[in-house]
Amino acid sequence: MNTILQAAISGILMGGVYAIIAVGLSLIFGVMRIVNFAHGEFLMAGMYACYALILFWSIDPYISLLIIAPAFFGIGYLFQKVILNRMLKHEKSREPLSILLFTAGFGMFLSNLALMLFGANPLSANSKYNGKTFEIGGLIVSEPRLYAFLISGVCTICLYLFLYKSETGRALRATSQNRDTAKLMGININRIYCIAFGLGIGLVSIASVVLVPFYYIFPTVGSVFSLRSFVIVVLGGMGSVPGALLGGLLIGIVEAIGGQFLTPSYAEILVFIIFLAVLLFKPSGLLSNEKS
Amino acid sequence: MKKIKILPIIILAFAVILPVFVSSSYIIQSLVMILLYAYWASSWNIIGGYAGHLSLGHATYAGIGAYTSTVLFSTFGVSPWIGMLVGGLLGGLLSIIIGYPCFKLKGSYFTLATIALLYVVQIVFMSEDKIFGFTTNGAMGMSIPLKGESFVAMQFMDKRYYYYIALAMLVIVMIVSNIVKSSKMGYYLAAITTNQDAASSLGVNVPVTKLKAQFISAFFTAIGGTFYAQLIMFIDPTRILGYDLSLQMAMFVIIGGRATVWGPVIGALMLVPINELTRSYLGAGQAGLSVVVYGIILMAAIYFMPFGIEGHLKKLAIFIRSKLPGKISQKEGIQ
Amino acid sequence: MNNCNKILIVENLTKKFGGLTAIDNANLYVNKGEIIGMIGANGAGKTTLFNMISGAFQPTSGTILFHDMNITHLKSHQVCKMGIARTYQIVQPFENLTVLENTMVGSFIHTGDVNAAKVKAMDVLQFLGLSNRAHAKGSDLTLSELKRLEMAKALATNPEIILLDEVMAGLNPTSCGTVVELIKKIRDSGTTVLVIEHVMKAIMSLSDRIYVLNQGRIIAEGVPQDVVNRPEVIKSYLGEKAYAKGI
Repeated sequence: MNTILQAAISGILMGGVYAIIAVGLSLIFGVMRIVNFAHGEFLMAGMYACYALILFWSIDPYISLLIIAPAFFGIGYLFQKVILNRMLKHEKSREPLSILLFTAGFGMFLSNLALMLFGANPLSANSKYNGKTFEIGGLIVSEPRLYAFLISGVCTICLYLFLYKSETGRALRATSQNRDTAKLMGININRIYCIAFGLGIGLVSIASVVLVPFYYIFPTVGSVFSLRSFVIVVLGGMGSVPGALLGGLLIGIVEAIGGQFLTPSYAEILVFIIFLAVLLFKPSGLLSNEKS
Repeated sequence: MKKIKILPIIILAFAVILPVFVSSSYIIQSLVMILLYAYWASSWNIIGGYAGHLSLGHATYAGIGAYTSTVLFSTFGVSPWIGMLVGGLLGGLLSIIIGYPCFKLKGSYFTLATIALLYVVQIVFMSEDKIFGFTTNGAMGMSIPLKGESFVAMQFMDKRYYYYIALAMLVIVMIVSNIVKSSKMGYYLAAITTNQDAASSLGVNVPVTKLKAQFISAFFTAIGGTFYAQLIMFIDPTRILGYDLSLQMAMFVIIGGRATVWGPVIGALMLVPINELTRSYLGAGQAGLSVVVYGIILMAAIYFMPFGIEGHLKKLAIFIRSKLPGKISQKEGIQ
Repeated sequence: MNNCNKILIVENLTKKFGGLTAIDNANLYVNKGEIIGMIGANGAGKTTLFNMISGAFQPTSGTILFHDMNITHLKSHQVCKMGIARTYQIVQPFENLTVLENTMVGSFIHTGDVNAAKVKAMDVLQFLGLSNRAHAKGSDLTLSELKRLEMAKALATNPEIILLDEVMAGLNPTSCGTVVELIKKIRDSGTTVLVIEHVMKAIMSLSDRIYVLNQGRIIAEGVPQDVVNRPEVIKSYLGEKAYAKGI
């Protein structure tokens, strides 16, 4: 029983990280109907960036957050402004096909760029948090995982407050509900898109940084998280922050406990099967009231 | 009175004669791969282009085709020609089982579902040594038993045979593509991709029409899988059931021109050689460089030509034709 | 009129959306060759009724009989194949197709042959005065042409009954007049017509009988002149009475 509880805790902690990655993806899809196929690769990029900061300037990873998160927000903002906004103008349909494939191509580009620059060998950052654990009531909790969970959680809550309490947040939500009406209300759609993408990438970079103290870094690490985040976004409902949080925790737990009873491969299959089941029976997400 | 389009015939004649002038086996093999990818892209186009459902899991069917014919051959000695058809039918059947619930999903949800299914199938094939009791060797992959030169076993020493088989397959699938496009089904699919409900109110049975397209697409994709197996003489889940293959199929069509007969072919014709060239010139050096360059080219193509090369080529052809003096412009452009 | 002429019978049809009753126990019938008008305030349920007859919505309860065949639970493509076609209030052209191709989607219904479908479609376009726009794309058409395209698509399916949902909405009086003539032409060629309209003048001049809907219920039925003078109709249509009296 203890091992299951142990696994569950580990799963919940990881789930927080999954959640923040998924929230970013969900925001991008909710506002622009773009599925960012390069989301995992941005995560990977953030991890390498954090690693470099530790290696060259001995910056504490959690401090580097203050550098990396805004930087990645800026990168996302520019990416949307310079490239995606122009492509959106051409694609008339609500769900742009060419953009989807463009992001897929970009993901391919990024992971091979990392391969080129850093090699295929998995890297492990030398931070002072590596391998540290707490003991709570007989259970062992990994320190960096706990911090990852807490930071992810706090940021997700901040995002939620931003979306619901601020002017820009309201504009974001309005645009995700009805693009044309938002335009008529005087909302600068292009700017909102840039903010949405920037936030999405900024959020994923937070996940990158909190992962570095306990996760291996390699060029294809992104694809592992990419797929998880798609599953979570659908589970929680596209565009729903609480949904992404719930979905993240759920997948984290399922994965961890599943890993106790099944081989890693079959644990993965379990996640996909849950995904397919949700898609087929409740595509609007577990939390929504809509009948599918 | 039907107008006979001359340009496609000229291109076909060129393709038929080409191997006579090429002596390098390596180049012939590369040409065969171009034809195979053009074939796969055209098959994908039937559901991805005409029906507008972006499947990023189509390698599922290629894999089913490859494994079916290989298992039938290595376990029962059944000729791959027959195994090819069985694989095609199995792929088609699976595609309908998958399609029926999945077509209800909108846009990106459908795409994600196809990816999930692909991964499930890939992981199963990688983890299990036997599927339904037949040996498939898991992640190690299967070698096709070597028979040397044998038509029945679809194995040839001279790569030219593979070239002509692939060419024939491509021609067939392009004819099918043309039939789908200009037939009742083509009109129905065009209507469905724009407005399903309006189409339904005009008597279009939307689910059935989509499933027909899906079956045709999966059937041909699976057959391509068998050809691949016979060409390379080795199959493994990483490649033939891989996301990369699925993505390539979609890329060729989007960049070449979706929902057209020639678009997928143009896409493959342009991108496969580029992929090959970057790999041979840059692959030996820094790991990853060749794909970085290839990736940049892909992105540039999508960015500058979001609707595909075919549309631009058509405009070019029209422009050229308008400049030609009257009599000579008997030549038809790409249709 | 005896029963043999009633080609469409709607009995006790109800549609509920959760707690909201959009249509409450509707009863109506249509005789062959009639032009039936449907009027009522916005939100009265007219389009919902059309949606149920055409198979787009499933009724909560009640029956729809077409030539004594129960079509209540058929899907929209099946209803269309049986011979009932409809147009949409907000036009739904297939934007990436030409006018001719749009119409062909309809004319393919009883044939697999491309040429036959093309010929039929051209006939329909000719009938509606759109043949000169056959190769125009949907995005190039005027509203009046779009409305006629909407009708062309439905007519191309060779329907016995055609449901026209506010085909005159947004048109100027001249265009309305054209549409009125077209509707008469459609009936004269053998197709029975149900029309939802707000343009009272048109409804009055076109309809053999009128049904009046209010808040999901059919509150009146009969010959136009009678119906518009009834107190319950006047109550729900105070403003329109002036038009009615003007006929």
